[in-house]
Amino acid sequence: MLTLKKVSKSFRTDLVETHALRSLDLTVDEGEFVAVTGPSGSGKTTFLNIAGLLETFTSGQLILDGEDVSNLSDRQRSIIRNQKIGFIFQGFNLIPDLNLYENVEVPLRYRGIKKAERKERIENALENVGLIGRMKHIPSQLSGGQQQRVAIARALAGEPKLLLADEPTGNLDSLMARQVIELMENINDTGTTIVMVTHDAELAHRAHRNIHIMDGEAVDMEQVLSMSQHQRASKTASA
Amino acid sequence: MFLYNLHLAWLSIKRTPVLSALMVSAIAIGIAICMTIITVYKLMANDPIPHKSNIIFTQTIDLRSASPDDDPNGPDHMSYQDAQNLLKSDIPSKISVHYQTVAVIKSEDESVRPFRSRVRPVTADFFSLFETPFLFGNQWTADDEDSLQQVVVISRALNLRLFGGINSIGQQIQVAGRFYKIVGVLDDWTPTPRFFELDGGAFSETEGAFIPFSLVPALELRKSGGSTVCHASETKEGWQGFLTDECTWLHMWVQLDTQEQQEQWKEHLDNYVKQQKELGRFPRELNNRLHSVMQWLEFKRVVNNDYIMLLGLAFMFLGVCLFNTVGLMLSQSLRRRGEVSVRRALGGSKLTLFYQHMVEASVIGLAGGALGLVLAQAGLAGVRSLYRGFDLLTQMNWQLIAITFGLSILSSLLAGLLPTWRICQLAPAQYLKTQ
Repeated sequence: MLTLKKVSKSFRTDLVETHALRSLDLTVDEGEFVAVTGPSGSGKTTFLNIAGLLETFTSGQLILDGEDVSNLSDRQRSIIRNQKIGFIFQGFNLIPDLNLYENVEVPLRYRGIKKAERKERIENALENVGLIGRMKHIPSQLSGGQQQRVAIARALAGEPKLLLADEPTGNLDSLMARQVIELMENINDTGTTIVMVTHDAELAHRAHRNIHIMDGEAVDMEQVLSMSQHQRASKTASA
Repeated sequence: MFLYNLHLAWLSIKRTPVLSALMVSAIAIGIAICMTIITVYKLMANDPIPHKSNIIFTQTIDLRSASPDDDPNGPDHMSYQDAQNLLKSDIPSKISVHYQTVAVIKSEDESVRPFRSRVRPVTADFFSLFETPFLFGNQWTADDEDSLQQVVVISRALNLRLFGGINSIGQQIQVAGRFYKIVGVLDDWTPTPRFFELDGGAFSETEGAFIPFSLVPALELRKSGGSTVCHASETKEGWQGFLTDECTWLHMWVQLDTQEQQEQWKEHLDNYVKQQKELGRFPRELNNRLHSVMQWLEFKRVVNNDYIMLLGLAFMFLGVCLFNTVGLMLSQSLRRRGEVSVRRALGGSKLTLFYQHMVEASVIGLAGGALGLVLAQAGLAGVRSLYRGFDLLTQMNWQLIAITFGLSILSSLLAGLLPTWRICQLAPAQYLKTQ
């Protein structure tokens, strides 16, 4: 579904060059639920933005759904984002002036879907997240968990093949977070590939597979664990 | 998508009412000042008879006595003697001599008190040359003129005043103590500028009554308004003496349909002056000039340089208002980075978002145009109250209203270009995390 081959991303100022990703090789299969973990500043969000075609990269190759999307124009990238990718953000990112119906409608408008089909898709999506009765409400009238469910409904309405979630439960209490993650698991059960960036180890454990990014590189989790055990043992010995 | 974008524009305006009101006001004030000046300027520079302004001409022939320090341009008017001689020519398709006077008008209805009104003695071609519209009846005939019939064509306003607006053909009115039979009633006719007679002001109303020019020798109705210049060292006594004097006071306009006719008429004027020189008149060298309608308006400086400068200042002021609007739009766009980033993430291309924001700028422009129109009407009312004789120049027609909205939308689109371009260049990823 998603393949990154030696993808590098660096930011350059007059004084320094910062490497956000270093020759990142990574593959996510269709239907997988992958959690991406790593310390702050390791490059998780940069990876997610590149995978979501929101950001370009310095070198390497990005293949999405069998198509090389490394060097597409802005318009082509927008079309792919609209048709194949759904996003869930930590801050929900709902448009405050639009009611729930209109928020979910945004990607469908950009896709040029007819009114009747839009209505059906929006109502189904809101039904799936349990908010059909509140579709005329505006986001500020909802709790954080409900807003995140609307964001999920918005992502689902477009029937994306790939769902990218950046700390989807980061702003939620544990109860709400559990509801959201269960919702995501249900979505994954229908065949949608999910890549989720998270700090939450418990959440990461619920994914099929974990990818750890450190200093812009994907590292083997077992290697990470043995390194940390070795470090702890050395500290104990020296003490 | 257009209606959707209109809906989004309305939501955006509702979200930031103060900022939106400031933008609308900035555009409205600029548009109002601009349209006030443009309205006056456009009507001043208007072609009053566009379909034939290049085939009707007035001419000046210079009968002044020799004096090296004089204005090189000859007198604007013509003497009675020369007008009568040139009227005999059959070169022009139409030829009209006329002037303005003032006379007491009285109807047979005793309840209408006599009043003074402007009266224009004209030759019969006047009406067809200037294509005056008739509400009732028609102009008098050449026979009426030759046989010195006392006939009159009155304006719609005069007909309303004297007869309540009914068809008054065949009725009689008194003009300067003589009875005249009404043969025609003009419909509203106010060429702007009033090119055929600039003496009484280029933007005044037309006369109430028109009587045959052939009656002039008997009537002794002196010219009212404008200049009458006598060029001979001695003037003759009485009205008849005045008519044969070297005094210029009459307007003459001719219709010359072809280039050939125009050449022939110029040649005729030259030959006429040469012939008159042999009789001891026209001491100067040949100085005959032919002016088309627009050339005449330019020559008489109907639109003077002050107005052109004022027009420039008005556009500069609009520019200042637009700069303010650009600033306000930039400030608004800063607040919208998050929303734009979300829309980009959801599949909105730069072009889609550019379109959305330009629709919003147009809505702001439209609102600014509507408010500007109201303010421009107030501005024009101000001009009317300050300057007499500007009534005809301070009325907006549909064309000017369309220009108002066109200019305001164009202004807002121009003002919106930079903020919209900048917001479309945002890297969406940067603001999605920080929302």
